[in-house]
Amino acid sequence: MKSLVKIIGQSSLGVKLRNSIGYRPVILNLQYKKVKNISISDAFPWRTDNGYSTKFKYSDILGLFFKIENSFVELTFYTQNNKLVKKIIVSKLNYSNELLIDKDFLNGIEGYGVFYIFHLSDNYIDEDLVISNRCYVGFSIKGSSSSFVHGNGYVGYQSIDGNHGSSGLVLSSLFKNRYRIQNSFLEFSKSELFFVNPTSKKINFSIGVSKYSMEKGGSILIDVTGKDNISILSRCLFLRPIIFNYKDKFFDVYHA
Amino acid sequence: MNFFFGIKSLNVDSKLTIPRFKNSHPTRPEYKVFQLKINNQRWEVNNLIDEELNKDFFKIDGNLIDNGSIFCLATQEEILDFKNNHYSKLINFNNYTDTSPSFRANLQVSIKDGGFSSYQSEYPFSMVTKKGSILSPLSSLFSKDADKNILLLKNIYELPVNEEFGVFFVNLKTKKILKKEIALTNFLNEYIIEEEFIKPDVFLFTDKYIGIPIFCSIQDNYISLEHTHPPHEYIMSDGRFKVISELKKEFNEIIS
Repeated sequence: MKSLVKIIGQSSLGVKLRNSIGYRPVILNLQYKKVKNISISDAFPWRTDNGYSTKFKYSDILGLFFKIENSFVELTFYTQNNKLVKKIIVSKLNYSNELLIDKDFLNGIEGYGVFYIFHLSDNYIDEDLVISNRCYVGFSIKGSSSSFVHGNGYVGYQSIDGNHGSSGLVLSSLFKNRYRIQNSFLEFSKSELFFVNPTSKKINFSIGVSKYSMEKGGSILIDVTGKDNISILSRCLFLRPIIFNYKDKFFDVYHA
Repeated sequence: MNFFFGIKSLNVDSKLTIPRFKNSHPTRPEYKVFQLKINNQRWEVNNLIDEELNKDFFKIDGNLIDNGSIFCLATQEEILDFKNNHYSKLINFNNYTDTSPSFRANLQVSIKDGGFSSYQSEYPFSMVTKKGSILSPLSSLFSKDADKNILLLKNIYELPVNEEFGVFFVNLKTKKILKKEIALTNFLNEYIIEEEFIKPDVFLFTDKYIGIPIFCSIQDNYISLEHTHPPHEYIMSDGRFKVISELKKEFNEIIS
């Protein structure tokens, strides 16, 4: 009986029901489990607006943990409106690797958006791997040293052989969820929130009386200067922004 | 439940902002902030009555922070339960901070007349009862260009003891120990990292206790603070603990 309840609870309809009523909600779309050997990525933010450049640090997970030689990574970069800017392959990986994302790298674009990293290999893998690179993204303004923040979620996946993939793994609920950021913003001269739509559909959300929306794969930078109680109301089950706080000429970046 | 901590250092100032509210629920005024520290092989508990920033936050300034203290939210009644074990072992006072997403406080470091950096931090009770080892790459968050790279290693262990354990800087490719340091349990340990250790093949490894490794880089008065993830967060498939255990075995063989 217990296992029948479990099967129903984990079925597509069961997950929808759980998420609708808020009973043990399932945050991630489990479709990725149908694909063998996959690499899951966050939608990492990049910025080249207002003098920003972005530094990305990542590990060779297949090499370090699974001793798989000659693995490589695919990185795909998108604008805030989910338009593909470029795709690169990096082979000959070290255990730790670094990439500078500035406007020259992004074909002259001054703006912001997201990127994904997927670990790939041409080798046959006789396991059922699910890996995710937590990674670190550093932000620098006009050549200052970078303020780093780690990966924040699970948004897209690709099979390690590169043949299958999808994005928008985070699910939504029928009802709105409130998420209040657990920090005070009173001491800062300026504060910005960087949101990414982690779902497969357009989402709407609000902060106080201000309403926003993001298309699938989209991102948005919102100025919340002067607000202290920042509560985000959304049907998305996991909508956590990256925070940029400014004071004098200095700034700080962290995830909520 | 979660514990929180600050940083007492000659290199940076720190402060801790602990929210009184859960990220999806209103403030519960009966929850107060308590400071715990070791005194005569017992946990000593102090109610920090005056440390209130406003109705939503407790602010723990540098004058209350030392590297042996930890902080938690509890009601007066819950703290009284601590008496029953004669303050001889940390207990899971309550589930007030067991939330999803995690309940976190803002740990901010700053330099006088310079920059600031923070992350949303917590030390879950589940880590307090465990021994083990930490494995983390050094170059993921440190920078060769920085004026100073500081490793901060926080351990909280349930028993009120300051026991020594080893902190090793290991080159995985050459299988050599580059340096050994000593850390204390129930303490925030601090190490200045040599520039030559900041290479893709160099890892931090501890031999007896776990903890949270926090990476702080200072350059031209700018500062960056972020923690790394434990290796098992990179692997989501079954058998991940076996994979991590094999990798840690490799490090254990190098240090033994």
